[in-house]
Amino acid sequence: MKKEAVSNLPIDPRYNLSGLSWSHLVMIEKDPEEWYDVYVLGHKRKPTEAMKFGTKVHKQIAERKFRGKLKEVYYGNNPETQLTCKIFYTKTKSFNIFGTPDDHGTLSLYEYKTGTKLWTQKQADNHGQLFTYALLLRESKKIYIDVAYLISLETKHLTVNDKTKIVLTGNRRTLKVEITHQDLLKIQARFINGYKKALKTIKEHEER
Amino acid sequence: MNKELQIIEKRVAKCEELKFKIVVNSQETYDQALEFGKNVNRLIKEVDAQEKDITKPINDSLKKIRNAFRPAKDKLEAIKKEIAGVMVEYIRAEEAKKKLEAERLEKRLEKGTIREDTVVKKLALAEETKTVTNGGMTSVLVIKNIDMEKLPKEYLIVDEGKIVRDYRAGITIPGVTCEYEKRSRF
Repeated sequence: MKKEAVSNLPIDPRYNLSGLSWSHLVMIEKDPEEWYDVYVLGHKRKPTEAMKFGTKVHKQIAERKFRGKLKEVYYGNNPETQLTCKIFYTKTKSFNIFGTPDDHGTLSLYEYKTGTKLWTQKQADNHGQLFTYALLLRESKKIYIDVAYLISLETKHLTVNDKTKIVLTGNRRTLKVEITHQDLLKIQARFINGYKKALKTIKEHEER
Repeated sequence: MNKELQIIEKRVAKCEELKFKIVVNSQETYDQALEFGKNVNRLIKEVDAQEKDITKPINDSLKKIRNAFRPAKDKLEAIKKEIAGVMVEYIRAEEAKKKLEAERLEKRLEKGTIREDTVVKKLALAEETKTVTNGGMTSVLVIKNIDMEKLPKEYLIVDEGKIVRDYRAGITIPGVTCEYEKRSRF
């Protein structure tokens, strides 16, 4: 029997593929209705200033244009690689997942986070995005990630001439997270439950 | 109370005025400063006493009220603690069972007696059917064990009280030097 990802999930414009990403999963778990509004109906949320700043920093890291306080940040050799794979919820039925790790090497992956509060080890240990990327690397590139580094970069609001902007403070935390086989199994289980919720939400909307 | 406070404030202002005139540069001026310090100390005691005249009956009433309500509060706290204990015990047992099952499935997967998608499906079902704690449970970071041999110095807090007591008792403490410093006393 042909193994292919068949689903009623919406097509994500970034990947031109129907499926789920880590961002989808987080939103489905939090509020399936919001996920439906954003990803199925296409009502995009306006990015906050903090989100815009995060995108800017990620761009600098990806383009290796480290400036000022971004110097000496850990990195691998494969920034912003788009990855996709299938998760099988039966022997033959699957759906796609996709994601773009900030950076990865042959055994490690790197994820950068900006925010006014530095991440804790517990937050990093439970951060499913790292396991999602490790799974994507294993399935799509046969790269078996042992360890992920979550690099938390502290930001603050700086007011100059009545104008407030977000800047990096220079404080950062590099949190090491061991990736086990069980983590990869559990993240697949989480995606399956997310997928079920997503399908249920789509069906409910179709029946209305 | 306002009138009493006004009198105190006047006396404090007078003290502040006199303070600026104090210069210690001889036995005579030292004695004057000592006398002034003693007067300030006496005023502090007077203010304390006046304050206590007002606050003591209030504090006594508060104490009585708190004592009257304490037994009920204590009983309720004990009930709350007991319920919380039962809930935590249940969640811990459920998590331990889940962990064991996940490990068992992983071993079977390694042996090749089960497919990965079956494992994932089972884990998804376990996750879906687990107890939803709805904020009734939190995780608190606790220290389980400390190996003092390995613990870096930065995590140690010096017991200064014990050092001073032992020094007075004539005990030599390696790495510690103490000396008597002059402090004024009225």
